[in-house]
Amino acid sequence: MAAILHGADLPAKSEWAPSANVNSWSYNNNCIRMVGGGMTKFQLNGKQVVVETDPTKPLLWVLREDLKLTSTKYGCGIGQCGACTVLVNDRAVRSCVTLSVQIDGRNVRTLENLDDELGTSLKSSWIKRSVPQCGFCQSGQIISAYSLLKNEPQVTADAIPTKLTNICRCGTYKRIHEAVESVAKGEE
Amino acid sequence: MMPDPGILPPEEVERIFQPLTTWLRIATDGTIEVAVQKAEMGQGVHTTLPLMIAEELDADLSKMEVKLVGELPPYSIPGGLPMTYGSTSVSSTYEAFRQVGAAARSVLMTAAAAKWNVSVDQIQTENGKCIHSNGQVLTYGELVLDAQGLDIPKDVPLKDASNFKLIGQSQPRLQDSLIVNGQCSYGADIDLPGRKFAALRHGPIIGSVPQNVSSLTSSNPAVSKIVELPNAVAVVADSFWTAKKVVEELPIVFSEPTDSVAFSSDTNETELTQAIESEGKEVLRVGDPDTLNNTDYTQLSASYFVPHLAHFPMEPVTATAHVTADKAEIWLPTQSAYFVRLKVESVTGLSAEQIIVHPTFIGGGFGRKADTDYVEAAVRIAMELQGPITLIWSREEDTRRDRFRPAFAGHLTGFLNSENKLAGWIATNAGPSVLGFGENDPLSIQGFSDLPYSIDNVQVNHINRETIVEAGFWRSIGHTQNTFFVESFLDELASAAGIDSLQFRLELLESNKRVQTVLQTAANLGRWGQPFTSGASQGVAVCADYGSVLALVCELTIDDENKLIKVHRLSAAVDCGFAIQPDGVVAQVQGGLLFGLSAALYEEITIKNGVVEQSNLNNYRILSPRETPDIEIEIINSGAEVGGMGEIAVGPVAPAVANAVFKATAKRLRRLPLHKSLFA
Repeated sequence: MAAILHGADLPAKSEWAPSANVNSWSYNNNCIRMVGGGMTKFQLNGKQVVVETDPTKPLLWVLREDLKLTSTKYGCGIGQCGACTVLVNDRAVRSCVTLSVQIDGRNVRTLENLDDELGTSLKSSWIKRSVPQCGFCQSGQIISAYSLLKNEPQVTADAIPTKLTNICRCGTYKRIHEAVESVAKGEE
Repeated sequence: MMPDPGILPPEEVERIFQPLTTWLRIATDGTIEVAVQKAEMGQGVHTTLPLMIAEELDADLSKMEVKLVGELPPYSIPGGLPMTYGSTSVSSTYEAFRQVGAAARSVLMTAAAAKWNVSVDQIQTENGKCIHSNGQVLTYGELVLDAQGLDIPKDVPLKDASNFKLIGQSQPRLQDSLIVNGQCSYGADIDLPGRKFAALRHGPIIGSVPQNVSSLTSSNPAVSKIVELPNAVAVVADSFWTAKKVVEELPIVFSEPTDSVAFSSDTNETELTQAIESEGKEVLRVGDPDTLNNTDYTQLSASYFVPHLAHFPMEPVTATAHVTADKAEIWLPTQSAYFVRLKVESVTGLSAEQIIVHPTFIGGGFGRKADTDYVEAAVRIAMELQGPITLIWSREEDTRRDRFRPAFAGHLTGFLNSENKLAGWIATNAGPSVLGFGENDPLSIQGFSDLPYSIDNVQVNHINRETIVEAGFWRSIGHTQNTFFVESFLDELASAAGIDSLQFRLELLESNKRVQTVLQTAANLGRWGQPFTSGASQGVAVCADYGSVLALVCELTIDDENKLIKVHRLSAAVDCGFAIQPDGVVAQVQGGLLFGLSAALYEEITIKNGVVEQSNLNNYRILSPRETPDIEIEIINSGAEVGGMGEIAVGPVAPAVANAVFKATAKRLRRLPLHKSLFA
């Protein structure tokens, strides 16, 4: 069964993935096509995957439960804390409010596979500064930092704290900002 | 089961850990596995405790691996509770773990001496190796099999601090590589064959009981079971997301306990604020406070109040349990495997020997993960199924059914003599007991009756008031209310006396040079009297507990237009006796200050007719990352005994901010959170 949502029935974009740049989604005539049969096909960490699942199941739970990738965390479920942040087409997206149908055909990356030059620099900067404390929020933090530097490489040091909105209850913000700034400056 | 070495490739044989002592196993490739029984919840014990062993063992820290174990025999050390609590992990293990390292080193040297047929004094150790005076070398990995079974000595002489190579110098955190590569496993990350997920829902009113579970059904094919709990309903399914959706939509009827319905946080506030006008139980008497009723003295009184607070760890409470007729196994984030096991015994009727507790890394504890309510729920659900279940509380359940930092009121009356010196004070606080000890809870008066200041005549009273809201341990416990009361009142006294707040405190610390030094250091670091930001106001506060001392200068401005209290800088001086991992100390201060700042400015749980009104980040406001101030920290190694650092930074923040707000606005804010008190 295919369902097509139009116009006013669409969930507000702000409820999907608050930190996503919505221009990265492609709308066909302002609607989402729900693929019949609940099969979602996407690139995950460099591999093509096909998952049979409820198209409204959030990507967070598809990753954690169907695909057994648990670096992406559940922190709030309403897209506010950022612990669930993943990359979709190299942009930060809050996977707890992203339906699996929305990433059909997209390129998803999680912290389990962030080994390119930018990812390696960030991880190295993180370790050098002993950024994490409990570490639970850190996959979302690193992914968000990756997205920021990938898409806004010229970001200034002053702007970094305003652009990384992921919550850390242990209070590692100062170190996160310093670690990101260092990579932005090309020091890692 | 030991694999047969004869059929394994050599490199796998080398990685089989051979037990050496209770705490250490060594593989023939030299990797050392250390058991760590204190819970890792961000405070760094996962690194600091192995570090202490590695120092005396002369081990290569980079070849150490950590096995998280429950604090249960044999992984026990004498003294204290079998729990990670009270900022005691390092101070309680510093001696014992160095002995573990030194004893293991001694055993390995004895084995080497036997192998080389020399006396032990011909052997030195370095970086995981025994070295003969003639240059021959044997690694610990090469010696472990010979060392097994040798007597393990007690009271081995330890290194002099001047010879430390690791202790006292910041080392990389052993957990960080796992974390940044997405390989760090927390409570809900575990995977087991046949595991189902569970979500639960408590009633809207605290203490309510589900009444219609037998009539509840679900047509969702992914749902295995609906389970009745004493105070909630759980749904078990193939997916947590499914279980959560289903349980949230079930037409559950909950009772409405009258005593809960009668409870609202605003009436509780009124009651506590009235209660502190009366005397209560005297818990401290110094000098002769009865003489304070002297007309020559200027008398000043103030009442303060702090609301309920949620812990809101980034990881909502969770536990995975598997219960059969004769065994129970549980994997979970916990600050006490001991109390978990006790709970499992009580719920299942199984004996301790039949129960295995596997502690995981904790995604934020702050005292919440010392509780066992979520353990009970997971076990009860598991008892209804054959296989393992992973229970995750939704963020909403985690918030609404948190065991909150309790609401507390404080009332202080101070007496200044004709020279504007503090002749004494009478202090009363009122609230519930977090330990369940009624009016005899030492934590109710932590930071209230144990102050570093010399005050000649003191009477401290406590009034115990229990309500339907269970009181929980919230990072720094008594200090979260009492340090706000005390350090705010000191400023009010200083102001009445016409004396600078810093000066007022320094004079009261003449007999306590340790604390006085820390305070002066913070004042210098914070440039007391000369703020870094033009037009900013400064506030100061002190906390001395856990064997450590911290003093804080807060610098802020008020943005009336945007209704913001903008904290620009926090300058903290800390003396924990001796900083074993200096960067770890810095991290705990940075984190504790921000934890305290969030509560100081924004956090509040409100309860109306037994219903908790907050549930998630959309209605429980916490500090945002962009509000991070500059934080500067200076560590003083005074040489005192090693003290704790996990909590001490939290309490002083609220009074330091309130004191600065007073300087900026002439408004004395006596009720937290401050943003609400100033702008609402």
